[in-house]
Amino acid sequence: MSSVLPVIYLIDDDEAVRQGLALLLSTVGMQVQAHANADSFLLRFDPEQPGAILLDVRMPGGSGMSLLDRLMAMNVTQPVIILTGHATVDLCRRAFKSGATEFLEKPVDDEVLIDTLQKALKTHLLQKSRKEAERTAQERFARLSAREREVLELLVAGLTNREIGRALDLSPRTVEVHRAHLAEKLEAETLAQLVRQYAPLVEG
Amino acid sequence: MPMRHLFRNRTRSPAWLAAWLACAAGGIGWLCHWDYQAQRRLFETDSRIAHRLLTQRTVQHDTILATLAAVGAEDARCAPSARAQIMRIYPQITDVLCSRMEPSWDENLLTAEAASRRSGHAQVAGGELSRGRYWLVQAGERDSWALLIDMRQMIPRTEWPTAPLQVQLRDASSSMLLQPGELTEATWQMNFSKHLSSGSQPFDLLIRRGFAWSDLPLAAIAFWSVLSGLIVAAAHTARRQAVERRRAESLLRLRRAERLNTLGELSAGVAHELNQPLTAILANCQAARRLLGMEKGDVQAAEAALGHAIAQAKRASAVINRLRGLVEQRQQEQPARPVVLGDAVRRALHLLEPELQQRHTAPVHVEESSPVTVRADPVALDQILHNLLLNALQAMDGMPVASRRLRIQIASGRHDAVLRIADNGPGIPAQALPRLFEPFYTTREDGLGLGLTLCETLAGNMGCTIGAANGTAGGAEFSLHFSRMEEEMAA
Repeated sequence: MSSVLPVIYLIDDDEAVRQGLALLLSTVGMQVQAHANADSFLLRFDPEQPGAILLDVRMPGGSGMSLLDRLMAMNVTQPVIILTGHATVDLCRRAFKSGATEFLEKPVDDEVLIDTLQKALKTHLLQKSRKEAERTAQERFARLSAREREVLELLVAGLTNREIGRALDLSPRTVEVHRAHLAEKLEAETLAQLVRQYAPLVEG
Repeated sequence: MPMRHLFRNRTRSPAWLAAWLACAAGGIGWLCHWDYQAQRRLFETDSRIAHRLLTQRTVQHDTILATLAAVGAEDARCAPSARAQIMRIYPQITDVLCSRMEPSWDENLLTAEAASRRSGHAQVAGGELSRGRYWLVQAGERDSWALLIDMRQMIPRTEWPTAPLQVQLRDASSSMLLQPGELTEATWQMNFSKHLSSGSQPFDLLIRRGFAWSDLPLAAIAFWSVLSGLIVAAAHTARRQAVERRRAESLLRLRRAERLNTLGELSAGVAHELNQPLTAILANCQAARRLLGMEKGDVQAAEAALGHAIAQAKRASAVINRLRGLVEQRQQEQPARPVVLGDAVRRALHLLEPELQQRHTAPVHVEESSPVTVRADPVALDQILHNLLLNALQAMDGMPVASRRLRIQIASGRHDAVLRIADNGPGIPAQALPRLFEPFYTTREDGLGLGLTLCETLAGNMGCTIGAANGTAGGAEFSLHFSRMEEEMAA
């Protein structure tokens, strides 16, 4: 159900605030999903969906702070931005300690809000894609045979086919065959790509 | 007053009563002990005097007998003139006999004579002490002599102690009461017992003195009871006043803290209530601007956003109105009534006593030619004066203690009355003067900027104007102008 576009989850008990902020964010093309309380949000929240969470901390039926704690316990990767009408130093400290990414005061200026959300989304998406790349690499690496892993290890170390053949007691021709197989399995087109993506896995 | 009443009920009288009883009992015990010791010393002195006098008497008897033995009997009648003279001089000697005077010199005397001859000094004949008299016999070379002594007469009245002593003389078998004393009503007894220092008349002297309840120092006891009662009562009162004062002070502090807390809660509540619509207004307005700024401006959507903003602005306004209604409901105005300005100032100064003391400010004198009466809401007036006086005191905090001057002046004209409160602090900065009564405007770091605003509102409500200026000699001067009606002029 995940869409490519990031979703901003807006949680605030005040209908007018939800409407206003949703409208404002829609003007810059952001997709907004507004919720009046924590329960309705948790019901529809998709941890796989890239996005950000905009949370008011003063809400009836469990304050925003306890929702923040719950999200952190769920290991949510989406950035959580706290929005509050009465910021105190104490509240601010608690929010950051609990894992909030940013702390904004109501009423919030459009520039500040949009800028903050965009930065948070950018960081989030970058982390997300990096993690995904890592996972794919691991999956592909798992497909290699033991001999192919040995060949890859020596390739990454900078040895030529001939040198690898001598080291593993293989003919250069056989090394060439292994090399073609592993490049295919790892979906790498050049040697440089191979080294960049798989050196950490080989060494680890 | 109900608080005062409650407080009085709470004082623990039994503890104070016990304290008084302990104090009185301790003092009385010491008084009795001291008095008894004095009586005891007096008794012992008296007893020693009595012992010395009685011993002297016995020695006197020995001397008379020795003289008689030396003189001897002139004839068978045994010197009747000498004997008569002895009996005249010494009233305790009721008879004098010599051994020639038979048959009067009887068996009893003969036995004593023989004993005297053996011992070499006079001897008491027979044991007849209980009859109040005894014979004393001295054996001589030619004649022996005997004296009959009336024991009751042995006491020399001139030198004898006046205290009511019971005096007894005893020998081995019998005793004689020389003086009865007053022992019947006595509760306690003091005793003195000593042997008479006489070889011839070896009697024991026993002296007793009774000590009754009435001998206790009753006047001193009564005086001490009353005095200790007064001391304890004074301590009680002082303590109660101290407690009451501390209580009043802490109440004052408490109320101040409470007010600040309420204010904090209120401002947090107001902030939340107003921030919600403000957030919506801001978001909608900014969204509208963005919508209109787009290449294909979406006018309809912008209009809808502005409609939302307008509705939220109205909501914010309603919040403020509701809040004001809430506050006004609580502060019910009291109707104006005649108030003596000087009294109101003194009341406010009394409440500020702790602040005055804390700042070591001298008692403040209120300058008024005659009592000025104005129409005012007494509670509001108290509040205004409290604020203005406290401001004046705080304004002088930077001044040396000795040079701090707080002047309060009350003057009345034909149609108005003015109350002036002047300090000699740094005065009001020129740029602050026109904004002084604005809400949330303050020159103090920790000030809320509401005190003077409140004063102005309260003053306005009762038709009085408040003014601020800098005095000609430096310092700030606040004034309250009251207009006076005809009826008050008459009052």
